[in-house]
Amino acid sequence: MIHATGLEKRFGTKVVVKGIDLRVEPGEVVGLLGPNGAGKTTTLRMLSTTLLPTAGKATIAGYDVVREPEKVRTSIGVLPTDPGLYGRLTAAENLRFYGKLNGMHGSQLEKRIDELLEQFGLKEVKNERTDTFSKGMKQKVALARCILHDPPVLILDEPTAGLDVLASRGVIHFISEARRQGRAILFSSHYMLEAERVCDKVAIIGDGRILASGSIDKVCRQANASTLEDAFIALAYGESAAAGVAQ
Amino acid sequence: MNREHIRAIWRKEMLETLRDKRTLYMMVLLPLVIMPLLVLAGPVMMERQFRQSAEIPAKVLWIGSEAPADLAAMFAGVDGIEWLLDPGLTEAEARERLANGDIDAAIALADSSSYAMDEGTLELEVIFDASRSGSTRAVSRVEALLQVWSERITAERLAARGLPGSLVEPVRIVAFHDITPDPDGFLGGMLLASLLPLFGALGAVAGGMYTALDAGAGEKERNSLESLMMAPVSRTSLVLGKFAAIWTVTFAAVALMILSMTVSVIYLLPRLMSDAELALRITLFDALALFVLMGLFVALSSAVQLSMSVYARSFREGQAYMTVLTFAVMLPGMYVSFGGLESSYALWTYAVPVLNVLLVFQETLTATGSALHWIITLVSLAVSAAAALGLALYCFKKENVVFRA
Ligand SMILES: Nc1ncnc2c1ncn2[C@@H]1O[C@H](COP(=O)(O)OP(=O)(O)OP(=O)(O)O)[C@@H](O)[C@H]1O
Ligand SMILES: [Mg+2]
Repeated sequence: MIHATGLEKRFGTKVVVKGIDLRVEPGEVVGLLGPNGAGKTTTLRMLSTTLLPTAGKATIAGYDVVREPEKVRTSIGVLPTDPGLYGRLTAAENLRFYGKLNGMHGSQLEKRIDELLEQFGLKEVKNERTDTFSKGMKQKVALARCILHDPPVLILDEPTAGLDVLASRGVIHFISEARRQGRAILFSSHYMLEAERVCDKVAIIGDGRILASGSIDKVCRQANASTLEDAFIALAYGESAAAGVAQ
Repeated sequence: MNREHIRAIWRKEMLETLRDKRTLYMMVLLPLVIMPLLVLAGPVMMERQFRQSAEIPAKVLWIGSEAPADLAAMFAGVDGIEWLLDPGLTEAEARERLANGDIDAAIALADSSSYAMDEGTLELEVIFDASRSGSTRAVSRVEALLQVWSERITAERLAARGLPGSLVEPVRIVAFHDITPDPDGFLGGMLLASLLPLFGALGAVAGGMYTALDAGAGEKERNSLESLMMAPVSRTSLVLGKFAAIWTVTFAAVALMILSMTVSVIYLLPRLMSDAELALRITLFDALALFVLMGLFVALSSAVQLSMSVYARSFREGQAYMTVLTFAVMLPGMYVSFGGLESSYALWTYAVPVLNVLLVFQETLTATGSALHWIITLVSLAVSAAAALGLALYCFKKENVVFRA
């Protein structure tokens, strides 16, 4: 579903993503794990067609992100770093707008909106402006928005950032559910425990490069660590940092 | 391009606008309440002040040698002047009283005066304060009275010598014939002609400002632009939907502004002031042409504002650009409104957006327009609006504009 090879992004003279290979198959959850500034968001933006790669190639559901961006956009549901809802619109209006942009309309769209709001526990606030919502509620609306048009691929940028325990658990449940439905899911995160719970595979990214990738076991073995967190620290910050943590 | 998408985006922008108090202020309160108040308050206050001051008599003090009796009697007998006599007062003391505001002017008989009833000239010195309107008004009343007195003495002197009055009056205007078809209506037209183009053009910049700011800079600031860019919408549809919303809001504001100004000047102003009713004489065709003109101008300003908005990194940065745009309209607007009514302009002026709108608008209201001016203006506006729309599209396609750090 998501195939990227040698993906590179340069801003001016600064190379931010330095040749990344990624594969996510249907029914698979892949966690893109990396420290701040590693290039996670930039990578996800290239895959979701808002940034043009400066080198390399990526296809989503068989469509090339550079040559067929509009076809790619119909196949993906994206959750950006910030939910980015329209505060002056209600939850339903936000979803309705995106539904129409995705070619949905009429009673089919309304039914889908009700179904999703029900599922996310937002039925009561359906007709309330989203600028009155808590961060967790906004994130739920944004998740509903990204799955509204039933896309085969989900790209989620730090979906649990800033959420409380219960809200995070809701997001993890959402991801597991999406996997069960056969979607290909790529999400970025800083939280290793979360990644351990939900990911089939992880890719550890540091300074724009994939440092290790594969199943969690494989990554741990490669880093000679017992937990994903140890492996992450060893890989992303170097052996000395890992030793420092151990002491 | 997809009509469903354009309509969805238009609807969403309109919803956001209609739920924003700032836009409602710009769109409704400003044209319907604030602007008419501004326009009406000036003339009404000025007239009231003028009428009040006209009723207060000017205090005029005569100092030095005594005035001829008939002159003194004349001054003492008129309404607009309070005649004060103080022959013992020096000029310096009179100046001081004037400075204190006790009197409005003082008249002194010059020493060199050699006046007698049947010959010679009465030489007067007038002391006044040009910085006080009460004082200059006193002087003009004094001059008018002296003129009347002078004419009477002249007539008496000529009669005593058996000479005709025409001897000292080689020319006299006996009548003024004004051929303005409808002087009152013309006045209203002129007043509107100097106000409407400026206010209309300002409305075209201010009316949809917040809608434009929301559509680009606001989407960036609230982080909603990123999701929108990931939706399966062509950039063309995106830009057209946003453009259409800004156009709708701005055009509504401009139309309201023009209608409310017209009503204020043509119907309210004459009722608030003592003048006869003013009438605006333009044909239905002219009115329609003006709406087309403003429609195109609003298209240009909407597209420019959309480009500025999406280029800006934040709402505040966008607002700064809009301020520049306001000045770009205000400066030529003031020039045309208050300076250029009777000038004629080179043809190329009609190819300059903003300036051409102001000129053609004004020419139509004063019935001095020409088809050539209209054609150059409409073509120039259409071309520049299309170019500005292209610029907006270019901005939305450039990732370093959309993600400008
Ligand atoms: N539009 C841009 N122009 C220039 N540099 C950029 C731009 N966007 C991102 N960068 C730089 O690219 C690098 C990677 O940023 P990115 O946002 O992809 O990191 P990230 O892994 O998502 O970090 P975080 O965990 O903080 O979200 C950073 O150094 C950032 O400053
Ligand atoms: Mg990020």
